[in-house]
Amino acid sequence: MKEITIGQYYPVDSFVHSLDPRTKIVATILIIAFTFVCKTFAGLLISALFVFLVAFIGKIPFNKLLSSLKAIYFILIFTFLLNMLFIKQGNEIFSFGIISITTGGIIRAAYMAFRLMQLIVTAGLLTLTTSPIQLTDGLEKLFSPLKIIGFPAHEIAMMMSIALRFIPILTEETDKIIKAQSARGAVFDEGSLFKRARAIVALIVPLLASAFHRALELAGAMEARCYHGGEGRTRLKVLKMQKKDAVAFIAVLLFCGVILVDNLLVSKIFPFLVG
Amino acid sequence: MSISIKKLNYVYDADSPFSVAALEGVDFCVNDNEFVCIIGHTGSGKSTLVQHLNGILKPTNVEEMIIEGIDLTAKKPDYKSLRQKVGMVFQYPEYQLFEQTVRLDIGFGPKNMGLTQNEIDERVIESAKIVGLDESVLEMSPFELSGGQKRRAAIAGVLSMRPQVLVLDEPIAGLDPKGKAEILQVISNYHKKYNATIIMISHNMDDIVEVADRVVVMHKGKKALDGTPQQVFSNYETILSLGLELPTVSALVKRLNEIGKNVPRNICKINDLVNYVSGVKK
Repeated sequence: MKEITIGQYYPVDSFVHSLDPRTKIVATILIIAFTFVCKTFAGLLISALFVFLVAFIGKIPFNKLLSSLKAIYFILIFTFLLNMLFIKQGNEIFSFGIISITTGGIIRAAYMAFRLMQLIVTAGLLTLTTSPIQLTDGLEKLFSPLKIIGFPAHEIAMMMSIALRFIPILTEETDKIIKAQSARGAVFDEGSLFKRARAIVALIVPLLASAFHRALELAGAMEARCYHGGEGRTRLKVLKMQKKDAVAFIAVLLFCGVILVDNLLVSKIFPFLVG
Repeated sequence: MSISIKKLNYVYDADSPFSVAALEGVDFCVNDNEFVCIIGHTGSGKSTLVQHLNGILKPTNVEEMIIEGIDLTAKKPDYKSLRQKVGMVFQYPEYQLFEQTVRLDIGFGPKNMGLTQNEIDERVIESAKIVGLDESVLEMSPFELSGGQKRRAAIAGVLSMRPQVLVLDEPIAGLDPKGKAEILQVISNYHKKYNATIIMISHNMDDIVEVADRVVVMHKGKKALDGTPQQVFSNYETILSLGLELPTVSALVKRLNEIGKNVPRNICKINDLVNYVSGVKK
């Protein structure tokens, strides 16, 4: 549970932290998109350096930034193997029966794994530098134009912030229930898969029961304070774009430009390097 | 000797910048069949201490730790039999109920112990009787019960393992006066009927005075006071300076002394005070 960085805001005072959440959300999407557009090794290196630079400006420690990768290492290995085994390009360097590994396959697999890592690290950077409340406020604002066609932007943002708020509470609750059931002789980390699945019932049922209980209480408390949805609701902190947001945007657009130029140049001069 | 712990240290999140020393050199010994109450401010380490008693927390370091004959400083302590010997009732135990019926839930512990179905049934009925649950309740879903009934069912779920040591972490928190009295009665019945050792964390000084053989006061991860209720609660100044309150009777005796009446400071039970006062009158 502890390895998941999503929702784990790292509260320091920095240029990146002080940006408008909308800027950061759009920038994150752009950086991720261009990492996937990028076709060259040099370009991927540039995008990694760019993200590290942003993390450095945001005063995020290196190990905090990379800790989110722990949660996906299995997917990484899996993607790498799949790509390596099923993409047949370039010279064959190893073959055994139906398995054959090619240079092109390895390069493509490495690209894919790199892009996935970049995706997680960049998304992690967003949540490390933006508090969950800011994040949902930003999303609500970004989606609010869609309200015209009936998209419930406010409700979704509210649900998200409630969900985020409840993660630590439910984690603590899980911990308590595990302790209580272990004291009654339940074993969660031993035995066959079937046995473990059976044991987990003793954890899930009380956890769900208390989650529903809490949800009911929260709903009651919200209604008691006259919550009636997003219409006509004002904010304590109104989001406002500033000059530094423009600076940040220019930096991100520059990065996108570099990736595009790099793609064009390299695919013309060294076509064999393109993965 | 039921429990013998010497120089117990426990650090939360050791090796991280957030590490907190929760227990520092705590000695904790309990005799067989003793009723010990632990009191202390929030964060004083009382819950941390009791969670060591059935191996849910493992000491950061300890000099000696023997519980019901099981040496927990051994390389591979027998946690399974430890958990059968030491029953643990956590705060708000009703949150651990999960089975379809109360009968199955109370039988969960004995089933994990590997007892036969007959033995399980027997223990379920007996435990229900101890906590005062009617047999008709056994076939209901635990989620249909009232708050007080849920608490009793959850406690029965621990008692059904017949622990020699029963540890309770604020068992009466959040109950009405009648519910509180009933639960205390259950605990004291179990204490007497099975010669069990009881260790109870509580904030309710008036109850503690009536049931405890011994009171241990925790403060900032250390043991501040340890003795009979009479000894502990006659230390008015220490108790109050630790942010705790005195039992009503002790508070009354303290006040009487302040206005010049000479009443022995160690009187903390209502009956002792009544006897003393009627003795003085004559």
